[in-house]
Amino acid sequence: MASGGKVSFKVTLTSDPKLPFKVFSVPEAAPFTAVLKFAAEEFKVPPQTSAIITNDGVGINPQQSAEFKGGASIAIVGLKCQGNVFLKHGSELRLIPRDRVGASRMVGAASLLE
Amino acid sequence: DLTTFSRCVSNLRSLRCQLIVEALSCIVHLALVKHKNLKIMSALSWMLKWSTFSLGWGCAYRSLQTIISWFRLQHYASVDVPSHREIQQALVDIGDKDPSFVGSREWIGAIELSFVLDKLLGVSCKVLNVRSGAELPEKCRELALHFESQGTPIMIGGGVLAYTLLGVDYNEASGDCAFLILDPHYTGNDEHKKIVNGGWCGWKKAVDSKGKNFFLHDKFYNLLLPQRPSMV
Repeated sequence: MASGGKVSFKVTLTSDPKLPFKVFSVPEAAPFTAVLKFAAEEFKVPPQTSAIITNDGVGINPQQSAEFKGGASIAIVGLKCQGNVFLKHGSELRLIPRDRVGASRMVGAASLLE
Repeated sequence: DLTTFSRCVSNLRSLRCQLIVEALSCIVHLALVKHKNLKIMSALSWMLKWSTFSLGWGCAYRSLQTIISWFRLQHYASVDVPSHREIQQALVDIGDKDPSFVGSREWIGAIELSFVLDKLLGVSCKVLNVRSGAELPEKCRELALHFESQGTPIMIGGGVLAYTLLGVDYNEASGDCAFLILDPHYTGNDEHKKIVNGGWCGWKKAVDSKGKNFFLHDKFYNLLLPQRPSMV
């Protein structure tokens, strides 16, 4: 629950089949990078290779000050409105690993399905 | 005259019309066919333009270029298709990367692509995360819905490879599925017959006839699903 200028987020670690989650309370004015960093540290995963998405799968750029956009998925769920990130994305979030891809390889002669 | 590739797409479109009948229980969902887009060559050309230059590091960048090209062709965006450097600059501008990232050969993934699409096109994306490539066939129904409702190409990032997904062939009765993959690792000439016949754009089953898995079972995958604008 929100209190004293704080807001709570429930973050689930999707890379663990048990889907553990933790609830974090952060000051309203804290940048969202703090949520990502804190969540990653609590789950013992590197923050640099982690990202946060909503339950709907929408990505959140921690560096941006997310402006409220009408029509965005909002899950108040009894929690007090915090501000930008909460208004836009709600309080239920997922921590996922970031993929980094770039290797080159030959696909080889593959056939089209008939 | 239609090129071999255009003919391929046209045939797929006809196939779709034949297949969307209950008796066959097989629905082919194609990003480009749904929107009657035979300009795949334009989207493909952007990928090919940068392929040799970014050999070994730029496949995710090229997948992004294909996606942006799609948005241009559908008239959802008018921005030029960005170069690799411009993509890197966008990530620096939003604070996701340090300034030293520009001009590097650093790899990016689905999350970075979502940031760039938001920054340059104002396009939002959804991210599908699976813990293992073995789970991807289970997502076929969801992917089919995406192609039905959104129609946008999907970027798949996992292991060390990026792919662009243009459609899925999903049999509701059997659960069998195949993926129409545009492989951004191609570095040859802009020869559509060569591209199609070489399998650089074609249908891939999760397990091929030799029992080899197309998606790695010990790697997680992120799928980037760009959302079409809801208003103009």
